[in-house]
Order: sequence, then C-alpha cells, then structure tokens
Amino acid sequence: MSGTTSPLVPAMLREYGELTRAALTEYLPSREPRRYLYDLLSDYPQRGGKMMRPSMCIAAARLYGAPLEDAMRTAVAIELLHNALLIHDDIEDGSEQRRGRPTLHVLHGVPLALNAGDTLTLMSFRPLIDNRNRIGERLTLRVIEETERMARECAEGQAMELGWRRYNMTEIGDEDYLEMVLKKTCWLATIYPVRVGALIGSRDSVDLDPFVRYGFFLGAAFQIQDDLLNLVGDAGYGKEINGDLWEGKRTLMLIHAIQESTVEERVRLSELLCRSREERTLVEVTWIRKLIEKYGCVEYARKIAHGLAGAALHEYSLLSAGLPDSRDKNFLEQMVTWVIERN
Amino acid sequence: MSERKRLHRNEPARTAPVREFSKLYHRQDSLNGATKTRPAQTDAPRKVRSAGPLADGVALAYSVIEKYIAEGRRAAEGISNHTYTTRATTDNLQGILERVLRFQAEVLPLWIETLATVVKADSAGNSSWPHTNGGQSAEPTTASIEVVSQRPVEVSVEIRPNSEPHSLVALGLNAVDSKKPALTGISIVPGESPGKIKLCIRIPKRQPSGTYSGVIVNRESGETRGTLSIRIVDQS
Amino acid sequence: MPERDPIRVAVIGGGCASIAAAFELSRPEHKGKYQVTIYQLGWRLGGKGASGRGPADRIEEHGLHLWMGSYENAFRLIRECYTELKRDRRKCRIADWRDAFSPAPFIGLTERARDGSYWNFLSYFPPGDGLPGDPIDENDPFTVTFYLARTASVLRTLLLAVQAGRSRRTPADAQSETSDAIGGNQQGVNTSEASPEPSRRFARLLGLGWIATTAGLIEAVEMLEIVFAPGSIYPVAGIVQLLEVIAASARSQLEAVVANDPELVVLWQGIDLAMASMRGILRFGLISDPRGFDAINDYDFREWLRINGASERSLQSPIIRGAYDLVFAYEDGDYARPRHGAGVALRGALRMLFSSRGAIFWKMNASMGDTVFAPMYQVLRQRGVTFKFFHRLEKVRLADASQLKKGECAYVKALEFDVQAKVKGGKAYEPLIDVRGLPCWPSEPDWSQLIDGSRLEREEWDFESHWDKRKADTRTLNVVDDFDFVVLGVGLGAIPYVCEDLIHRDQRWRDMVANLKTVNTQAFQIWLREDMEHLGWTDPPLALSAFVQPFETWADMSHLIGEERWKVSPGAIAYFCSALQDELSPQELRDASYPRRRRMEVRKNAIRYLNNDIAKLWPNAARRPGDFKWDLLVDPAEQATSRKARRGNEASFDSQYWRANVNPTERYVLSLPGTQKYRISPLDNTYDNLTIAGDWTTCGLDAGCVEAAVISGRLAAHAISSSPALEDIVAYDHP
Repeated sequence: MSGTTSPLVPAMLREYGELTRAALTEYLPSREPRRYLYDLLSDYPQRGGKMMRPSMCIAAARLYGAPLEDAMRTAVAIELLHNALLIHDDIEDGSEQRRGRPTLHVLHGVPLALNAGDTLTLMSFRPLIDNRNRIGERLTLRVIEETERMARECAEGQAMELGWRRYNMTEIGDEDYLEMVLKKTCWLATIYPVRVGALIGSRDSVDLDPFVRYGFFLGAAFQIQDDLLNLVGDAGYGKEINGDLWEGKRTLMLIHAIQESTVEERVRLSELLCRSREERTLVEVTWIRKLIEKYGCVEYARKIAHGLAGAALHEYSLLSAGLPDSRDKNFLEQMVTWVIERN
Repeated sequence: MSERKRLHRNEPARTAPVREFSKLYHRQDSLNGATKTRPAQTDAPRKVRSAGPLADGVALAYSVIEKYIAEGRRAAEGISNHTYTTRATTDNLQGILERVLRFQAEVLPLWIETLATVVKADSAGNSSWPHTNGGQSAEPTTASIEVVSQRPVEVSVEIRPNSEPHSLVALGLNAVDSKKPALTGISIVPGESPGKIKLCIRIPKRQPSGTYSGVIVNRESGETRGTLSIRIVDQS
Repeated sequence: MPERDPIRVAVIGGGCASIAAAFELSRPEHKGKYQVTIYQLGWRLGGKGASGRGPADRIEEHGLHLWMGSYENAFRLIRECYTELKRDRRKCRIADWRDAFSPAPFIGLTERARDGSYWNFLSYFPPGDGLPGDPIDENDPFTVTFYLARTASVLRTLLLAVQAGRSRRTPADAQSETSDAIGGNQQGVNTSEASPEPSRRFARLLGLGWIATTAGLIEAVEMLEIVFAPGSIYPVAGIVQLLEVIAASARSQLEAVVANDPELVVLWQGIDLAMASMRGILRFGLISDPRGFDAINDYDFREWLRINGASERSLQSPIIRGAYDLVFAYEDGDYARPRHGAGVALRGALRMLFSSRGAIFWKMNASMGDTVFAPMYQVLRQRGVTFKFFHRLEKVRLADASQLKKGECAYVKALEFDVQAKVKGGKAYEPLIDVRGLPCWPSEPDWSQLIDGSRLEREEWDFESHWDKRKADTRTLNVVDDFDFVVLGVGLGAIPYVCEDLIHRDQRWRDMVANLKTVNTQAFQIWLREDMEHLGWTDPPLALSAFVQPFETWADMSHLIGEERWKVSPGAIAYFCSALQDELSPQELRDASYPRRRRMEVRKNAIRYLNNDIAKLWPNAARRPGDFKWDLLVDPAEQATSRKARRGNEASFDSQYWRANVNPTERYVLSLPGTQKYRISPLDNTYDNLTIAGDWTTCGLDAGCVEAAVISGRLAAHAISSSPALEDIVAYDHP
C-alpha cells in the first residue's frame, strides 16, 4: 500500500460534495417554523463534512456509464439520511461536539433535535421518490427497497451496539464487533451508496453482492480508523478526544483490551463500563486509556484496519475488472487508502 | 433408423405467472439480453504476509461477510419460490413504505391531523400510524365550552396540543345534507388561564337538527389545529 | 442442412392455441430446429374460431368473435403473420392486418324499463394510445395501483357526467359554479389550478363538509388519483376510510336523485361498481397480495361486489349482466346460475377498460377463419410446417409406469388417430378456396380431393361431429419414431375422451375435468333486406349485450356485406349468440340424433326470439309483437328478378344460418368461482414430452378468449424451446 495519498480522493469528494450540497438545498425548505424546525434541518448539512457517502454513490453510478444526474437525487437522499442519523447518534451518545461546533441537542435541547432528526429522515425519501422522473419506476422501486434494507440493517446494528452498552456486555469478540459494524456503519456509509450507485448505473443488471464485500471491508476499515482517531487524533479532529471512552463505546480497541486484560483488570473494567457517562470520572477514563495502551490495542486495531483495506482493494479489483479506466474507478479504489490514512 | 434418443423437455424455471407487485419490477431485462452477471466464486483471500493479527483479522472478516451474503441469498431464493403462503411478504412496496414511515415519529403534521379526522381518533384500531411523540412534551389543551341553545346539543371537540389560543377559529360547520345551512356563530377565545381555550357556541332557533362538523384552524398560518362536531338533537 | 436431426413436434388441434404454438416454434430464428406437424380433424383450422363460406360466399361462423384492444399477444402474432406473408394488395383485398381488423369503439347495453320497453345505452370508449400489438413500455409493469388510479379517473368522469346530467350543463360549467360558491378568498379549488398540497386539500374537503357537495365529491375522487399515483406513500387504512366517506356521500347525494332517469341510473351504477371494486381491492389487500387478483377467485363476481358495498340494483345493472353475457358465464348454460370468478372478472374488466389500445373492441372484416387462420396457415406452410387434415385424435397413450426407468418422468408413448378420409394420390390436402382473390375456408370439405369423395359426400360424412365416428383408417404415432414432443391443443371438452390414461393416473387431471367446466353455445346469423336504419335502429353499428336471453348478444355485422356476393344484396347482417343449456347425459353421448335435435332447438329459439324480442331493438322489424316480418330475410338462392309476392313465414328462416355448438371440442370454457386452481399450466413438466395449450390452461388470464389461447400457445412453445421468454409474453406476469 502506498504511503502517499493522492490528491484525487479529496478533489473528487470536493467536486461531488459540492454538487450534492447544491442539490440538497432544494429539498430543505426555508419556511416557518424556522427556529423550531427548518433551521435545525439545515444545520448539520451546512457544517460541511466529507460527503464521502454521496460521492461514492455518484462514482459507482458513473462507473457503469450513467450520467451524473441519474444518481444525484439518490446522493442527496443519502446525505440527508446520514445527517439525520448523526443527529440521533449524537443524542444517543451524549456527544457534545460535532464538526467543531456543539451538537444539535446541546444547542436546542433534545426534543427539538429529535424532531429535526425524524423530519430529516422522512424528507430523505422525497428525492428517492422523485427519482422516478429520471430513472423510471422500476429502478426507483429498487432503490427504495435497497434503502429500506439499509435502514433496517442500520437499526439492527444500532440496537446491537446499544444493547451491548445497556446490558454491559463484555464477552464480545472480534466477530461480533465486525457484524455490528457491518450493520450499523458499513451499510449506510459504504455498502448502500455503492450498491444503489451500481444499481442505477447498470440499470440493475449487475450482481450487487460484490459491493457488499467491498463496502464491508472498506466501511469496517473506515470505522476502525474513526475509532482510532477518537483516541489518538490530533487537534483537527472534529469530535472530542476520548469521547468513545467516556461513552463506553465498544470499539475494537476496547474489545481487545477486555480480551487481553487480567482477571482483576477485567473486573474493574466491567464495573467502570457499567456506569453511565455522567458517573464516569476523568481518572477512570484515563485508566481505561492506559489499559488500552498497555496491551497495544491501538497497534492491533491499526493492523486489522490495514488488513481490511487490503481485502477491500482485492474485492474492488474483482468487481471492477471489466470496467474501463476512469476517474471514478480510480476514486473508489483510492478511497480504500484514504479511509485509513486520513486524520 | 438413426439412434434417436427420447427427448425430454427442459425443467422450467417456473410454471405460474408472477403476480406479486414488487417482483413484477424484478424481471430480467431479457429484451436487452442482459442477465444478472453472477461472478465465479471469489478467490480465497489473498494471504497477506504480515504479522498474525492482520491475516487473522482479514480471514475473520471474510468469514463474517460470506456467511452474511449466503444468508441473504438463501432468503431471497426462498421468497422467490412462489409458495403462496399467507405470511406477509417483506418485499412489497406498500409494506416497505409503511414500515419506513413507522420508523419516524409523526412528521408532516397536516397529514396526520387530516387522517385523524378521517380515522376518527381511534388510532389503536385502523390506523397504521403509531402516534409516537415527536419528543415535544404534549401539554394537554383544556377547553371549556359555553353553549346557548334551546335544544339538547352534543359537542365533540379535539384540539392539538400547544395550539395558540389567540389565533384559533372554527370555520363554518356543515351537515352532510347540503340543504341544511352552515352552522355559524361559533367563536374560540382564550380561556382564563394560559393555554386554556374557551369555545362559545350559539345555536340559532331555526337551525335544522342534525350533525354539523368542521375544522378548527389557526387563522394566521391556516394550519388545521383540530376538529369540531356538533349534534343538534331533534326535540320532537 | 441442420446440424442434427430436427426435433419433431406434433401439434394436435388447429385452434388459436395450437396455431400460436406452431407459429412460435417455426420462427426463422430457430433455423429449422423444430419440425412441426399440425394434426387437425376435418377440413379446416380454427377450432371454435373456424368459419366457412356458404352460398353467396356468405360467411358462416361458429358464433360471434370480437377481439379486444387489450389482446396484446394475439395482435402481435397476427401482425407479424401479415408482415411475413406480404400479400399483394392488388390481388388480395385483405393484405395487411389493418385491412383485416377495424376498430369497434361502440358498445351497447340494454335495460328493461318498467313499461316493457328497452333502454339502450351506447358507450363510446375513446381509443387508447397506440395500437394493440405495439411494443410495451418495459419500465411500466401492470400493477394494481395503476388500475386503481385509472378507476379513480373514470369515477371522476362518471361523477361529472352525473352532475352534468342533473344540471343539464356541461361538466366544466358545473365545476366552476360550485367553486364560486366557496368564495373568492379561499385557495382555488378548481381542479385546473396547481393544487395545493394534497393533505391540505383533504382537511379542507372533510372539515368543511365539502364532500357533501358533488363538486367536493369530485375533488375527493381526484385525491384518489393522487393517492394511487406510483410512488405515493399514503397508508392503506386512510385510503379505505376516504373511500368509505366518498361512497357514503355519493350514495346519499346521488342515488335518490338519479333514480328516475334511466341514463343517469346506469352512470350511477357504474360509479357504484367502480367504488365497490376499489374498496374491495383495498380491503382485500390486492395491491400487495402475491396472488394478485387470484386471491378473490373463490368468490363470484357479483357476490364479491356485494360484500364490498355495491347495491343490489347495480349488481343487476346491464353493466354486470353484459359482463357475464360476454363470457357466457352461466353454469351449464343455465341462466338461473350466473357464476364468474371474481378475480378473473376483475382482471378482465380492468384490462379491457384500461389497457385497450386503438379501440376497446376490434371487429374483423371477414370471418375469423379468413382473417386469422387462413393467413396463419399460409405463413406456417411457407415456413415448412406440415398439416395433416382429417386426423382426429382418439387417444393419448402414456408409457406404462412399470416401463419407466428409475428416476424417469412419465411420458407420452403414442398418439392414436382416426384418419377420417384420405387424400387422392397421397398428396397434402389443399384446404383453402379462392373467394374473389381472398383465400378462405369453405363450409364443406373439398370432396374432389378425397378418395371416395363423392360417396362420402353422398353419405353426408360430418367430419366435425363427435357423433360421426366413420373413418377411412387409423394411424398411430410413436414417440422417438414419429414425434419427440406433443402439444395438446384439442379443447377442454375433448380431454375426457382422448386423455383417459392421463385422467386415470393423475389426480390433478381428474380434478381438472371434474371441476373446470365448459358450456355449449348457440348462434344464428340473418341477412336482412333493409338496412338497420330502416329497421328502426338509428344508432351507430355496434355489439350489444345484456339483452333478452337467450341471444342476449347481438352484433351488427353489416360491414361484411361487401365481402359476400349476393344476387340480392342484403341491407344488413346480424349475428346473435348466447349460451345453450346443457343436457348431455351418457345416452345422449351415443345418440347420433342428439346434435340434430339440439340444432332444431336453436332454430326454435331463434324464431321465437325474432318474433317476440327483436322488435324491441328494431322497431320496424315486426308488424306487431309476435310477428316478425319474415320477408325481411334474404335467401341466398333468391334471384334478383324473382320477387316473392306473398308474405314470408317462419320457413324463411331455413335459408339463414344457425348452429348448436354441442361438439365437445366446441364447448366454451368457464371461469367459475373456485375452479382456477384446477387448471394446469402449459409449463407443467409432469410428462416431459407433453405440453398442453388452450384457454383452459393456466395462462395468466384464465378465461375463455382468444388472448388466453394465444398466451397458452406461446407458453407451450416456451415449454419446448424456452422461447419466447416468459417476460416477452405480454401481461402473463400481471397481478
């Protein structure tokens, strides 16, 4: 794997991101009630963001020769859904910062933020329905089916993760983690965007399972990198450092730490993770942090991420074998490196 | 005579028409000759010559995803085997959309209120909408009712929480029988304490008996905030 | 030279299904892979669609044949046939399919008024876009919501018509009047404006009691169209409630008002039936039921509409009666037992109303034999298909169960035929005659081609009669030696006689012949001296049904006058047909006089009908009730010069043409409630060298009609050759 990230990925993210952002504002009305709803809906989208998900969707569609317009509305829907989930995630995790600013529920209170999140989810269906003017009834319905599938997987993955925290599960292995990540993160972040993109682009004539593999490996690597950044990220990182530890989120590092720890350490860990975020103290969080460093969990997770990235590249080479060379083809390939090297 | 063998028909892919709505969209695009390309079984994951965790992690990930994909395929094939069971299929558009909508709380406030008037507040029965709270704490709106009438009158009123008492108005109530004149003379004013509403109803002497219904709207935004139904009982 | 021996397919029967199967298997794309032989009893192809030419070249049909504008497969095939045939227009007056078929957009229904007179309702159905058989838009499959949206649109039209009828103004006027009444400062409720968000309109409609007016009702129905538009996401429960409100409001407003106006009554009945259908579709979950409309096939159509709120009066309306008449839906031909599977009926009605192209009906400009089977015969001959006339299938023999190898499927071992007559010189029989340039089928075989032909003629050998078993020889075809695959297209009525082995060994076949029923039909044709206007019928020419039983269906076929050659030219031609009550007992099966007896019965029915009933439609056709003007009938033997001075009597009828279609292969298959499940599919592979074809098989439509037969023939071809692809059979996959 080359160490240097080419400029293609950021450039394409910027290009597709701007196009998506412009199209997205069409779907966010600016009418009353502003203070209570519509300003909130626009808040997260306006804060920027990598626009990774919509970009991957557009690129996958163009891979098969479809014009950009064909995938645009779906890309908008993806970004709206993504932002909606961010709102909910932040509330559930009790996060206080998002993209360098306070989270929505911190600014406006949980009820209004929740309502905004729900509204945004619902609004993300309008562009999917409008698809029919562009790509026809059949594909529109297929896209909606894929979306439903993704939403279900997301919810199940979310339930898994929350359930672990709620019931203070500590006997979780790497396999469980991967399955949770597959459902909770990968589906929305990587699998679904390229699947619907390929679906639209190929007019539903290619097998979509290879995209599940590619998306899974890519998304898992992405998530692990995300969790790593949360621990060791630098000042440019948008969320709060150690935030996951405060929440007791079962990251790969934490799971590894649990697995490697001694009996006493495990008992203490279990106790600490039992507590809610408010009850956790800085001392305790620091202790957990030290435990992670002790067992080299960061290095472990980094290796896993690299391995997954390699697998993603392998899968991508299989599914893109017959396709002509293009910016989009390279973009999706170089995404793999980008997700694990970003900071 | 040539050595002819007895010929057999090929086993058909199916013997019945596809009647299921969502599957009708799934037909192979045979006119274009394009069939779903299913690639050959993927190669074994490339052995990465590095330290243990990396290879193990990759192997593990592959086992997770392959199991997952195989399950998905099995499920899809099972469903496409047209056994007309009565179990609700998960694949139809109606079901999909209803379920998607169920994920959210009530948004599109107007639609919900409208449906409420149609479905008659008995949300537990027919409506597929769960009336989950959008997160706002629902202050119950209390209404006091003042009626001036010579005949017995039955009033049913329903007002959404957090309605602005100063802005509400009841538009003319009508009976189903178009010959009967509209029932006017209804005003809504703020009640004694904040958040309270007072409904003033005056029934003219000559108003024919029957049931009159209509909506309560916010006169500024035009938004429907509730419904009102008045039944004038025939004295004879 | 084919690479290997061609696969030999024996197609038995020459009706629509068999011809379609042969047409598919012999396509040039197959490059001669299939060697098709069609075995047909008697001298002509066509089965129930066979026809002949009698004296004066007059067309003599089995009954009335109309093609619907929704017969996509049938039209596709016949169009391809004509294109391939490339007839010379200078020599042949029917050179292209547009010469053969003409749109027939008028339908008539009748209703008896209290005073015994008859109301005729003429319906003009505006043509749909395009022509039947045109390519179909792949991205728009047939769905239940599509039909619901169209039904809502029709509902709106009907309501506007009722409103116009009430106020004797045009629908447009009526609408603007009521919108004024609402008041100028409201958001426009005129439907032509860009409508405000649907949910707001909803609230206004219901809350303001607006739906209490007809205009509001109409607007509410417009909401339905929005609701059923593809991609809409309105929950079903809400829609059902809306329909209930609409129905209740409509009934209270309209039913009493229209009661005294027969024209409005029929419109109202249409509204009532449309609403009941929509409500039923939603309540029974047909939008998403994997069985589609089949889910309600256990109900009778009227019964189903009734439980969905249609009023009794609507259920007895000419609309419903006509629907039953059209498909002879009378069990055992008994008018006291009208029965029709609700799913089949609803599917058929929706397809007829909403996916007809060009016109709702298409009539043929010569007989069905001339316009369909003759060109098909010619094309198939061109392609190398062999025809064996005068071959009547007697038995299908299965291989002994004991002879089957392990794991081997049961199969057809032999086919036993009676060879009714042989052709001189061992040549192929040439079945067509030339009628002034048009190849046609004759009403009698060409005796001169047959060995001993004059004797057979003298002895009146009736090759099409089940009761005439005379034959010249027998012939057995054996599998591997003589055939590889069999397409059995003989008609359901014949199955019990020819498929004893199958019935004996296979429960499904037993169930099928026990439950899937057929019915006899009767028909007569008359040629009249005067034209229809002089006879008192001043409306456009049409097909009309729901009239007096029997012969409740009448079609004006005067357009055929030029096709025939009469010395004294008729002014009008009329065809009548209906079901014929069944009586067949085992002894009658053997009684050779049975067919003649039934034929005399039809004659009596026809005469009585002409005396008593036809004057209600053609006022000038009778001197007084009970006395038809018999001299109106034109005898083909009549010379221009001989004028019959005296008044005609009933004997004049004998020069006309009538039939009792009582032969087993002539019987018409019914779609009685609860019988669909007994059908068997052409794709069924239980006997791996046999496939069945016919409108009695599982063909999607599951009803007796040309389109069903053609679809089944294409399915049979697919069963053997995997072509055409199932997705290319239009509307086979359909709710």
